[in-house]
Parts: sequence; structure tokens; C-alpha cells
Amino acid sequence: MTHRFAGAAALAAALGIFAAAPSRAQIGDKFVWSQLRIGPDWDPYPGVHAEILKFVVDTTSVLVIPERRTLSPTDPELFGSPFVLLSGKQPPAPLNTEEIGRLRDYLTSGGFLWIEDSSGLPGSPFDAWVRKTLKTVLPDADLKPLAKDHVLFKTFFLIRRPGGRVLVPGGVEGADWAGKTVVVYSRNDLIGAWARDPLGNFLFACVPGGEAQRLEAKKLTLNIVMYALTGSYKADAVHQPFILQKMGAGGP
Amino acid sequence: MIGSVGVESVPFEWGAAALFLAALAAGWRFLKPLPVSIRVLRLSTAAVLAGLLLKPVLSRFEERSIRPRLAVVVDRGPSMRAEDDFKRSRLARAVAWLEENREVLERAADVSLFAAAEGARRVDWEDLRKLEPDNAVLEPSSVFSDLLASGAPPQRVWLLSDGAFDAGEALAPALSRLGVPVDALGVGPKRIPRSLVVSQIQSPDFVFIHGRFEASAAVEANRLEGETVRLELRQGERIAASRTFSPRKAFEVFHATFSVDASALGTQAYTLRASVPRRGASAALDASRSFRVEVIRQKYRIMYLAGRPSFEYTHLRAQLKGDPNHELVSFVILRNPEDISPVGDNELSLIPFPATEIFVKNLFQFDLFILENFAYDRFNLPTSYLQNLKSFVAQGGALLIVGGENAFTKGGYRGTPLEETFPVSLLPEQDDFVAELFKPTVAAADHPFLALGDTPQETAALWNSLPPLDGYARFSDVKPGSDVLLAHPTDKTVSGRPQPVLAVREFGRGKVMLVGTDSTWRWKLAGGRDWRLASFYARFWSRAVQYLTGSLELKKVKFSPLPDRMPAREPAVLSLRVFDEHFRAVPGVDVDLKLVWNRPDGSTVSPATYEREPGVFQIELTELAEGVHKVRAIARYRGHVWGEDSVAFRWEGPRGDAPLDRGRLQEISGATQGEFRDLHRAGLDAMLASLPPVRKERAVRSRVHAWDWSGWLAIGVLLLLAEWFLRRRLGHL
Repeated sequence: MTHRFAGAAALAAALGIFAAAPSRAQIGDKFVWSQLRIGPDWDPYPGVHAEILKFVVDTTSVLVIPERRTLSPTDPELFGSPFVLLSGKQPPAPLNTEEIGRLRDYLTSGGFLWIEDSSGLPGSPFDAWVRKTLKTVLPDADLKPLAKDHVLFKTFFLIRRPGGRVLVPGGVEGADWAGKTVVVYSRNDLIGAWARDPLGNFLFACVPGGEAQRLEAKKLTLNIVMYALTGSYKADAVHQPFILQKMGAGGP
Repeated sequence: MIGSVGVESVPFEWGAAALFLAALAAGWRFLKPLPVSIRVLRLSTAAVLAGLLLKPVLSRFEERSIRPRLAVVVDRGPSMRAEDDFKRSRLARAVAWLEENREVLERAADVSLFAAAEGARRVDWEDLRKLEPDNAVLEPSSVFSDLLASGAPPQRVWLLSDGAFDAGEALAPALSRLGVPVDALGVGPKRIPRSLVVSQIQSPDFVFIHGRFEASAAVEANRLEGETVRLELRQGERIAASRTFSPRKAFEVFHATFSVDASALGTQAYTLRASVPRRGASAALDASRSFRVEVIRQKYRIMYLAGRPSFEYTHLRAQLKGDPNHELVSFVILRNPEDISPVGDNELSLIPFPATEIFVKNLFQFDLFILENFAYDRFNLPTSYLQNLKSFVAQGGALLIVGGENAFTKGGYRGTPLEETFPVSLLPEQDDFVAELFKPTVAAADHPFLALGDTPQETAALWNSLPPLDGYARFSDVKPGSDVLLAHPTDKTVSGRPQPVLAVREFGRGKVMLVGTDSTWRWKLAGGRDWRLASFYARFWSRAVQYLTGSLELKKVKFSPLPDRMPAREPAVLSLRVFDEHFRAVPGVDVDLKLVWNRPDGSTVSPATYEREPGVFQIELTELAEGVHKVRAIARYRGHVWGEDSVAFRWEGPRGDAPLDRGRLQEISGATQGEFRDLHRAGLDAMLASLPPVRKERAVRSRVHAWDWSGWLAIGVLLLLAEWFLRRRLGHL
């Protein structure tokens, strides 16, 4: 219990340091966690971003803005937020024409959208909403399961197994635009695997894989952030011998 | 004289005659009782009619000598004016030689005379005497094609020429079609001096930087047997390559090919110099010819080193990587030494930071080195690495520093060799980066790098439409010789000048660009909000790379470099190339070309062009007057003013001072199993001996068609009348 309190205190301290930044902080070259406010259920795990950002800071050289930025699709600041998360459990109302146009403009001009279905259910109503909405936002870019060798699975961690609060078959998909995956869609509730209670305990067990599956969820979450910040860097030829050697050596 | 009798009747007529005679034989028993006189008359009539049907012909024959068909081609190009060490022009000497030998020639061969320049024209002996040199140089492929088209194909060809023409690619096929030996008779100086001539140079007009190209030269050595000829390829005073030759014969042509590195952009001048050192009483010899090569870019090799993952890195990397003209190698520091990993190293995709490879081993392979927010002092790198980077710039490399809080003083660059290359002086304070939104102001509106619109107004509107940038570095001062292109709207340097946001300078032979912010990615996303900005980010960075690597200054519309001496011939051929922004050839359908030719007399002409190959336009100038000619080309590409170039050359007209090019003539004679001879030493008997022999042939001298006379019919009728008369008298009716 002491350990849990210590962890929570450390997290709180970290958040306190982060909170020193101004409310509409300028991000410079720092990573800012931006989240779309679409529908009443847009934020199923409030505060989970701090947990994720701390992991990013502790593990990588990335600098972050601690404050979460929340945006509507029509917010002009959307075009100052190159990384955006859209999460939910229940389907929001259909987007209007302006919202669809804004999202299309955002994604085709360099923006990146991570969609997380937090319902944990295969074929959920949120999933149906996502597929229908993406068809109108990017009519020429179909959602497809990401191949095992997609650069997303090696931007920082070499990911060999799926992770998440749950495991839905074919749980990670993507939509490409101009040769780049601009939408990553996960149905394994990756962010649900991060959620803690005020005492620092994880809110949900990860099924069926337990803590190993949670670790994979954390690794994939960080890889998604790194993908937004480095693109296809790890697909460059210079990395391939090292990556192939490590992949050949096998994981734990 | 021999004679013979034949018939010309066709089978039908043979048959008719046979039938007639058979009928006569069958009816003979009815004639037998008749008197002899009547029978004789009847037989005579029958003989006349049978003879008419058989059509007898009387032929007379004679023996004739058939001479070989010889085509004599006289070069009347401009160089045939030369008098050499005679007192007559080369053309006059060639004509005189033919006339002197006319009788012998005509006895030995059926001679056809041709005057040759751009093509071959058949002439008679009278025309030959009046022949004058032409301004058009001999085009051998056209000449040999014209020979074939002029009538019965020759069995041998004599070419009287000084060899002052280009063989051209079409020559070999033309000689192959001609299919007969060509004997070349060199018309030139009688005395062959000890000499050295760089007679031919072949090199490409345009090459790509860092590529290799080949320059070939032909060197003629006259009376240099046993001596050593040194051929050097020079660029300025530097000897790029050399070869040596040792002639063994009185006249030899050496060919040498040099492989050259195109290591610098722009027009590069080279000289091929052949020399023979002084030996004993023999003087040293020296000959040279210059040529120029335009070196352009195709691929830019870029090293991009970033201090940490960021939106600036991901977008700039994608921009550079997506351009097919870039070869990008990039490294970004994903993890610092103090960062912790929850998993083992084999679950990380990280690779060791290849600092030595980047800063030492491979540095000079790149055209552009980008340092983005990279904290140099964090990795304990030796100062020599920055010294290397400084040398890289000084020797012509390009350096781009992209801001961020670690890009300058905090990154450890103050006081290092690399800071010497910067356009600015760094602040002593570590905290030299200000996080705030700002809209930079254009500080040098007329700088070509910033001209991202088609017009100044459009350019200004674009810059005004951009969203604010986020965070900027502060500097102590701007160094002399640096240009500040974008500046902070309010903040000043310590020295009181507007705080540079984008500044450039030249250092040594290279260029340095400093971007004091790492938030230009905001310009990319702004394209989603404002369609006018949709390509701004891509164009900005594309131009940045072009500016840094020197390509922005390179013309997109360029005349091919002219030779050091414009050939004295018509047409004068110019070549113009049009490139797009990535130096790819622009097809003619996208180009609108306007050409203005200023002639020495002040008149102006608009010469026509034709597209020789995609992006290459050829201009042929004729009716050239002596003096300086200027040609200016203005190109519009897809409706936009794209560029212009001009070229000037002095045309001196044909002086007739071209040397006798034995090599060229030997090339032609050798390719056809013909022979080469100097005209003044040519033995006519030996040359005639090479001709096919005179053949004896029996020819019909006259032919008499005995049947082709209407009187035979009258004789037949008279014979029948006489028979009828006798029958009445003798009572045999």
C-alpha cells in the first residue's frame, strides 16, 4: 500500500510540475496530447493522458506539454495539434458537413488521428460509427488491419504481441493518405489498460493476458505517440539490419 | 562484225505458218498437174506469206568494252578554300588533278562527277571547272545517299576532300547502304610538318553533380615517331588526368577517354592539352582545345540529425523523404542516456548513435547536413566532429540549423568551430529560446528564396496568410555578410537589430541557413485551413534545399555551352535545355519558347526551334554574317515565366584554315575497304588498278526487220494476180 501511495504521490508531483505550464501552452517541439470532444462519451478515462505522458517522458527523449488539449472538430486550434485522440464507448451523433470537412482537411494536410474504441466489444455501436464516419471523412482511404511489419510496431518498442484492456481480433487498423497512415484505429481499449484509481491501482484487469498484455498495451501506446513524432523513420534501411537481428533473436 | 538471222514471231504466228505450209503440202497433188510456171508462182506466193508470218530479223553484232562505274565526289566545303603550301585552293587543285587525268580516267572508267557539300550534285566537266567552295560543310551521309539516288549505283567512289567535316552517326549506315569501296584522296598541304593537333573532343553538355562523365579526345601526331606525346585533361591549373602515347608511324591518331568527377555545380571549363617536350634539335610542341560542361543537380544527398522526436522532425523528414530528388539519411535521438526502459534491449528498435559515421566517415558524401535541435554537448562528442562539419561547409557543403531550445547555446555550440559558420552570434545565456507564438516579418522581400508566389504581390499575400510560429531562438548579433530573411516582429538582438528567424550566409564555398524555430510544421497543417497555403510548406523547404545546395541560382533555361571556337559552317547549331524545378527535362508541350537572334548588322530575327528530345530544343542559324551574334531565349513553363538565357558567339566565316584531317578520311576509306592517299602523291595507275576490270561484251550494233515492209504484201498479191492471169491464158481455170 505504501508503494501505491508513493506511486500516486510521484504522479501527482509530476502532474504538479506539468501544471506549471500555461493553460494554452505553446508547444514548440514538445508533444501535446490533444483529444477530440465528440459526443458525450469522448473522455472515458479522464486523466489517463498524464500516466501515458509520464511514461513517454521517462522512456524516451520526447518532451511533452503536460496539459491535455481538448478540441472540437471545428476548433481552429485543430490545425495546431498534429496529434489527436478520439475515444469513446458509445457512438456520438453523426458529424455535420463542416465537421467532416474539417477532419478531412486536417488529415490530408498532415494531421494524425488515433481512434480508440473503449467499449472493448467486437462490433460495438462505436465501431460502426467510426467506420461510417471515416468513410465520409476519407472516402478514398479504407480502414485496413495493420500488417505485422507496419512501422507502427517498431517505432520504439518491437511489438510482437497484441496488447490492450481486451483483445479484439484484428484490433489495430489504419487508414492511409498519401502513403502515410494518418488514422490508427484500435479496438483493444489501449488507454483503458492505463487507467488507475485515485490510489494508483489499475482500474481494469487486462484479459485474457493479464499484466503482460497491459505491458504490450503500454508499449503500443508509446509507439503510436512515437509514430506521430517520427513517421516512418524506423522503416529506413539503416535500421533494418538491427531490427531484423533483434526480431530474429526473439522476445522474452 | 558478226551477223545472224532470227525470227521474232510468237508461237501463234509459228503455228499459223506451219498450218499454212501443211495446207500447201496437202493440196500439192491438185497443183501437180498444173504447168510449172503456175506452180512456181503458187509456191512463191506461199513462201512470201509464210515468211511474213515468221517475221525474220537480220542482226549485226559487235564487241564492246564495258568500263567500271566510278563516282568522283569533290568536296566543296568552306575549308577547301585553303591554299596550303600551293598557290591554288584545295578545290582548284582537286579539279585540276581530275582534269589532268581526265583522258586516262575516262578510258579506264565510266566516270560520274559530283560536287558535294550538304548533299551531292551531279556535274559535268564544264561545271567542275566553274566549281566554287560553299559555306556548307560536307555532310558525308547525305552525300553517299545522294550517290545511290542519282542513277546506276557506282562500283567504286573516289572522295576528294580535306576531311574537314563531322562524320555523324548517320555515316556508318550510309556507307553500309552504299556498299562499295570509297577511296579517299586527301587534299591538303604537300609538306607534312611535325605537328600535334587535338582534332576532336567529345563530352556531354550537361552532367549531374557527383556523377562521372567521360571526355574523349582524338590527337593527331604528324612526324612524331619515337617521341612521347603527353595528353592532359586540365581544370584550371589542376591536372585532372593524363595519358602518354608514343607514335610509331609518320601519322597516327590517338584516342583517349578520361573519366571525370563532376564535383562542383555550374559551368565547368576543361582543357585538353597535348604536348611533346623538346628533344635535341626538335622544338617542343603544344596543342590544346577547351570544352565546357554544365554540372547540374539531380539528387541531393541529405543528412538530417535531430535531437529528439518532434512534429518538426516528422514533417520535415516526410517532406525531404517524399521528394524523389532527395536521398535522405536521417537519425533522431529517441532515447537519452538517463531514460529508463521497462523492457530489455532486444525489445527496443533502437540502434547505437553512429556519431563517427555521421561526423567523420560519411560526412563528405552529403550535399546538405541538417542539425535540428541537436544538443551536441549532451553526447560528449569530440570538438573535432564540429571542426569536420565546419570543414564540410568551407569545402562547399550546405548546413541547415533548425532551432529548438537545444539548437544553439544550450546545445553547446557557443564558442565551437561550428559557431563560426553561423550567420549569427550566440548569446552567452543558456536560456536562449523563447516559447511564444509570433508571426515573423519578411526582412528581405526581394530575396529569391522567399519568392514563393508567381508575383511579388502573391508572395506577400502568402507570407501574410501564414499562421504564427511557435517559439524562437534569441541571438546576440547578426554576423557581417549574413542576410536576415525573416525576423521576429518585435524582439531585437543584443545589438539592437531585429531578431533573425531565418538567416543565411556563405561560409567558404558552402552555405549556411539558420531557422530559429522548430515549428514550421504549423505552415504544413495551415494548408488544411487555407487552400492558398496547401503547398507552401513543401515549396518553402524544397526551395531551402535548392538554395542551400546552389540549385536555386542555377538557371532552369540554359543554352548548352558553346565550343571554344564556333565551327565556321552553316547552319550554326545551338542547343537549349529547359528544366523544371527539380532539373527534370520539361517536354516541349509544356514550354512556350521565344527566341531573339541579334545579328551583327543590328537586325533581329526569331529563329525556329525544334525539340530534339524531351527538354532539348535545337536552333539552327543560317545566313550567318561575320561578327558577334547574340541569341536570347525566354521560356514560359505551364503559363508561368520560367526563365531566360542568352548566348553570344563570334562567327568568323570560313577561313579555309582547317588542317587536312587524314584520320577522318582514313576512317571512311577503312570502313569500306577503300584506300587513303594524299592527292599530291596519289599514283593514278595504282588507283585505277583498284577499279573493277574493263569487261568485253557483245552488243547488237544493228537489227533489220525483213518482214516489216508493206511491199511484201503487194508482192504476194501480184504473184496471185500473175497466177490467175496464166491460168486464164493456159486454160486451167
